[in-house]
Formats: sequence, C-alpha cells, structure tokens
Amino acid sequence: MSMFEAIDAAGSGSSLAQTMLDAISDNIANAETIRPSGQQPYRAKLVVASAREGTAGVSVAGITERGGNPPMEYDPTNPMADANGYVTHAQVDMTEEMSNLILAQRLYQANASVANTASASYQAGLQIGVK
Amino acid sequence: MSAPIAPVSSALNADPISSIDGIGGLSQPAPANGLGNFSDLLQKLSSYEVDANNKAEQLATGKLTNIHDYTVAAAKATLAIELTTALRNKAVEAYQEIMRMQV
Repeated sequence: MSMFEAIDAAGSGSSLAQTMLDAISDNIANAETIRPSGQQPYRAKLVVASAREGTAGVSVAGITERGGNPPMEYDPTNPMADANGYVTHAQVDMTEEMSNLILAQRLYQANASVANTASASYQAGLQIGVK
Repeated sequence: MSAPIAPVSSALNADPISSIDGIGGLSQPAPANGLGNFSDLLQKLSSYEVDANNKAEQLATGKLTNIHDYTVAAAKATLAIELTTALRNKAVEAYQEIMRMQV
C-alpha cells in the first residue's frame, strides 16, 4: 500500500474517464462517416476497463469496437453506394453516445472530488498534535 | 576521654566505581509496515517532489496528455513536504524537551 493510495486510485479513475471522453468524442465526430462498400464501416469505440492488480485503481484494458450490423440506406446516386445502391452508415448510436458522455463527465468529476477530499483529509491528519 | 576517632580508612580501599555499561548501539527496528526505516521514508517523500517537478516540466512542454497527472503529483508533493515539516518539528521539539531536563 503506497502512502497516498486514495489519490493514486482517483488519478487512475480520471485517466480512465479521460480515455472514455476521447473515445466518445471520436464516435460522435465520426457519426456520419460513410466508407466505400468494400471496407468495414466505422464502428463505435468502446473502452474496456479492468481493475489494477496489486494496487488500487483502474486501468484501460483496451478499446474494442461495437459489433452488429450498421444501418443501410438506399441511395444509388451516392458515389459510395455499392452494386445494389445501398450506402453503409456508421455504427454509432447518438443517444447512447450522449448518455455515455454524461457518464464519463460524472466519473471524471467524482474522481477529482475524491482526490481533493483525500488530500484535505491527509492535511487534517497532519495537524494532529500541532500546538 | 572520648573514644579515639577511628582512623579513616583509606580511600583506596573503597570499591572502585564499576564502569557504567555504555548504552548499546541502537539497532534499527524492524519496519512495521511497508514504509521501511526513517531514511527510506525521507527518500520516498523527496521522490514525490521530484516527480511533481518532472510532471510540471512535461506539462509546460506539452508532452503530458493527462492534466490530472500533474495536479495529483502536485497534491502528493505538497502533502509530502508538510509531512516532512511535521516530522522535523516533532523531532526538534523532542530534542528541546530533553535538553530542558535538569541534570
């Protein structure tokens, strides 16, 4: 156990929340990205978190992509349409991304609050016995 | 006639003062927790300060991607310095208390 483990754990939680914010902003920015028919469509990025071994806190285990079938739209005049005239949109659900955005924001704020409170608590501890 | 005063026995016959055993060398107590002994503690506290300076430099040159890394390191460095100050104050106070003892 390190000396200021609460602050370390809160810092790792903030890093995770920042990675989530990066992924969500990437998804929302690419919500209208249409790729040519031969390529994989843009799939929303999901951040996988895992608890750290041996010490408190969390770490980013990896970034996966959402599976499933992206929405297709019939638009034969589009230069990116395939042989049947269908255009493949990005696999991004805007409502889910917005709710994840609020979640990531609250996570970041909560971790910053934990770091602040822990720091204030330690300072109160240092005042014990001071005349 | 008063009894003759007994002769004072020679002081040389007195038991010599046996030498006082010196205080044994203070051995380092086994560390009770993972922190180690006192010099290890001071090393660790100063390492927090060094870490905060490095993070500040990285932030200033734009290499630091996580802002909260710097603020967390700065908070730990502040706590480490306050802890070192408290340790020094207690040690000085204890020394002065002992020096005040009337011998």
